[in-house]
Amino acid sequence: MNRLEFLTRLRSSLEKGGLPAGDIDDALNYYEEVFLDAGFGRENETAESLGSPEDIAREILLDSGIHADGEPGYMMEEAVRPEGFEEKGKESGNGYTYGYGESYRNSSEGSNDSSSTLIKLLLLIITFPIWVPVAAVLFALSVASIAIIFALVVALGAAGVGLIAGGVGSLFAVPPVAVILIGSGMICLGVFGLLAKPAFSKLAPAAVDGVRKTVSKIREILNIGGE
Amino acid sequence: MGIPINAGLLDAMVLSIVERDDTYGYEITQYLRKAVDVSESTLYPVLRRLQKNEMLETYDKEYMGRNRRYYRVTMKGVETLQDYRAQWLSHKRKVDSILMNEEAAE
Repeated sequence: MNRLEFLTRLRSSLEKGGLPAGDIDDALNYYEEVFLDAGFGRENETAESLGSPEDIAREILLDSGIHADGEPGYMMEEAVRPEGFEEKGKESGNGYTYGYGESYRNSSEGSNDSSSTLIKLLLLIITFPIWVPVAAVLFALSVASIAIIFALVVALGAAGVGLIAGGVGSLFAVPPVAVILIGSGMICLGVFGLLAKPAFSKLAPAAVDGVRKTVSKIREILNIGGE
Repeated sequence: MGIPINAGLLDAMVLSIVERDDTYGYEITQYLRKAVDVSESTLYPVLRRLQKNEMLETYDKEYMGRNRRYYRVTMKGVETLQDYRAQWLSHKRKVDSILMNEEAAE
């Protein structure tokens, strides 16, 4: 395996594991440097001494999960305890292997893609009586909230017009009241003016879009079930 | 090397190497190989951890048209190393007292 192949495999394994881009770059820089420092003509040899990129990626991923918020100095204290001395270090056929983290390895392995899909599907079917009403309620709630917002905006506009009309009507009968009415009406109309545009230009298309998406989702699910 | 080395000891050894002089990954590994059979892959998580725990810091230096990452030990790293050395000595003495049939110094 040459340098390029090694680094490519390492990158793809790290990306698959979902490591942040900065950490991936850091690891790749490090290993690229190792290859360059080891010498141009020794790429295959170097790759061999490093071990498989997939194993390295797994260690890095495990490590970033375990030590993400590790307490500084913890490792050093842990290390000097004589009783932990032999248990923690580990020698393998290939020389030195990283001592701890063995117990974490088991938990991350054994996740099988096809079986997890099956489990998801089964869960979906089993929980059918639960999620259908829940989805329906959520849908109804969102429709209702959109309707309420529309109603409020329209009501504001109507109230504004009504108040002003009332104020003009009573302008000569009770002038101070008329002024109050017209003023309140103006406030209502002003707020209506502020709210109406975003409400109708953003909310309306969003509502239509949301309904369309929901309908297509439902159709999709029904199609899957039908097949 | 038949005797296992644990992570903490490896941390301390790396700190000690970097304390002598700022150096880079490949050289640290070469140095460690005098005592333990390690590869650069073993060293990488050690360096990461020491950086995360603020015992090492890095800087890039140009070398033959590329950047090489150098490591430098921090104050905290030096303190931790001193602490570790003291504990190592006492641990070694206790082991020796049994393994080498020596009289315990304490």
